[in-house]
Amino acid sequence: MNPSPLLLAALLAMGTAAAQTNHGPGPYLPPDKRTPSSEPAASGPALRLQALQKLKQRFEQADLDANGRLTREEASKAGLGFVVRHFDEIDSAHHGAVSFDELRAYLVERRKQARAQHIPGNDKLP
Amino acid sequence: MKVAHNKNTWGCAALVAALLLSACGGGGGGGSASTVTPPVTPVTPPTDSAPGALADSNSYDSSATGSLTAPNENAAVIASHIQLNGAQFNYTAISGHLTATDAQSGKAASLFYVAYTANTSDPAKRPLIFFYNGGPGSASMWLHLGSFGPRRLVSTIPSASIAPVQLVDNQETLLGNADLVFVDAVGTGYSQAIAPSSNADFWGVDKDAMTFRDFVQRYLAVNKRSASPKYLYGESYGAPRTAVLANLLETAGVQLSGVVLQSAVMNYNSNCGVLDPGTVSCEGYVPTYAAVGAYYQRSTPALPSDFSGYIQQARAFASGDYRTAMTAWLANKTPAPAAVNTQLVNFTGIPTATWLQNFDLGPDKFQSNVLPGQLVGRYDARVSAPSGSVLNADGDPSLTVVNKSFTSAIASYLSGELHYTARSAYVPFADIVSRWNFNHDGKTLPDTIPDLAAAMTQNPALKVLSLNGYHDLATPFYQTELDLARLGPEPLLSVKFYSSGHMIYLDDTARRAQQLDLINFLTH
Repeated sequence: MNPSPLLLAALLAMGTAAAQTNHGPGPYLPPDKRTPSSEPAASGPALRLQALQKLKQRFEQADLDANGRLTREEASKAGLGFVVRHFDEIDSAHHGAVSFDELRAYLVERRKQARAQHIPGNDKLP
Repeated sequence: MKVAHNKNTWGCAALVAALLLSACGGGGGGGSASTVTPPVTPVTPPTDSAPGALADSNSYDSSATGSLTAPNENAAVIASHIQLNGAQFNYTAISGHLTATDAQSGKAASLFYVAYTANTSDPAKRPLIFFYNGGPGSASMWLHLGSFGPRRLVSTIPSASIAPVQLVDNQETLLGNADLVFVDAVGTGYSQAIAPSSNADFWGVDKDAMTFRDFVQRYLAVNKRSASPKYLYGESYGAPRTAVLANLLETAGVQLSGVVLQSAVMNYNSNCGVLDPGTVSCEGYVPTYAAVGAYYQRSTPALPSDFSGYIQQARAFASGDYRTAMTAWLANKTPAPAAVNTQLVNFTGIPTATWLQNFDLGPDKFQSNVLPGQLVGRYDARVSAPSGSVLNADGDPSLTVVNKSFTSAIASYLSGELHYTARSAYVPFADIVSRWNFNHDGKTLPDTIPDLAAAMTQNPALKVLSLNGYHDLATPFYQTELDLARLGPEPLLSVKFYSSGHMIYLDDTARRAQQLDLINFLTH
């Protein structure tokens, strides 16, 4: 016996209703999205490289003339407020444009200086 | 304050308004089940003659195709006060929308927020914290009414009973130390995409974080708060959102002072509880299993004399013998050594036979196996109810005991105390997770530790605080420790633990401890 269209519609509606589960505020993945990455999670120097890669990507997207350097205007247009804010410090050679290597050197130096000021407490991660 | 006052021009029906206010103020609406589903037809906002009240003429649509044609940036601006430590504390509650526009694409969304600002002489320098929940699909209701806002919903967690819907003056509010802004993601609360975009356009890791970035920038500009120390506070999925958002804000030139990651799931690829059984190791859960085993005295010893030492032992086991055995089991189903199973029995009281059949026991199976005949909560495993109990309706008694009270309280609080109404109902939870684009940085599921690292690279002064509940089976504390340890030694990162669940603040003792830790975090 074939199910009536009405019954089908009712079953479909029930299916939809069942899908409206309140998972609450916690994380949940539907079955078709449970596909974890097989790549090992980066840590230490590999992670720092990955973090720099993220910045480099934004840098390259902003470099519209692809000359490897960003002017203040290019950085501003692409929403790279960080580069704009620290432009003169990054552009220590006063070229009027900054390369990614100059940005990286600036970040490394800034981090080194900041770290010298902090003494790890007992409550931190090893 | 640069938020527009909206003078109420609706016809005056003072008697109706008074009746509504007395029904909705403070005590809340009594937990009606019908409040869970938003009505299909627009509701007519009641007339509210309170000074600064706003009857927003928009109807907000949380569906995938929701697309707002006439956004506004109006807000209800209400002078209010609570009794705090025996004295009157005055503040302003601002509830309304701001338009978050991506300067690159021009795409925009109208985000709903509730801001609490203290009436201080120099607000431009006062710390400012942006709060949001996770899901994805959860409005900021839990943090808003449960944690550190000026008004708080009474909670009886970890008792397995539904608490009365009662709002009280929150003695643990952070409003004495910072201004607080609770923000709803697109498709939740009253937040909606602006035409020609529709809600689903913002349902993804990157687009969502960009919208929050644009909201924060808009909020800072409108309220002239760019000089304030700025903090982000994300819970659950809100924590990976925070990592992505912090990096985006730093890149955009907005320097943050700190981020709070509560009950975090920083890397979806490492949490076995959101994946299928047998996919990844559950080692991040083992110390949580041990904590829950000890809570119910199912562990051996039943009452560990030194809880920290006991948990440390579980951590060492998880990343030692358990990990070795699990690697072999995941590779070719090599049975675990007897000593490993024995240790799991000792931590949990779950019998050997169960571990032999389910060595990679996930948190869902743990919920129904740790106490015979009972289901323990996913969000707080200290809450338990007999199998078949009405408290297990959501598959989680710790959610069922609080869910309806929060859902009904937020609705009555918005109209009754914050004096904000729209022509639609507030959406506390939207089932959008199947529509969510989890892709991020070339992975199908987000790993946001690189985003946090990128934010810390750009801002070496960025403080990071990780808050964890020992009895949370959704985002286990040890997995978060393992995820954060990838950063290496970070002097400005601290990790705190509480005897509580996922929504740590629902436990009165834990919330008091959290408040002290947060004040310390804000002021050092």
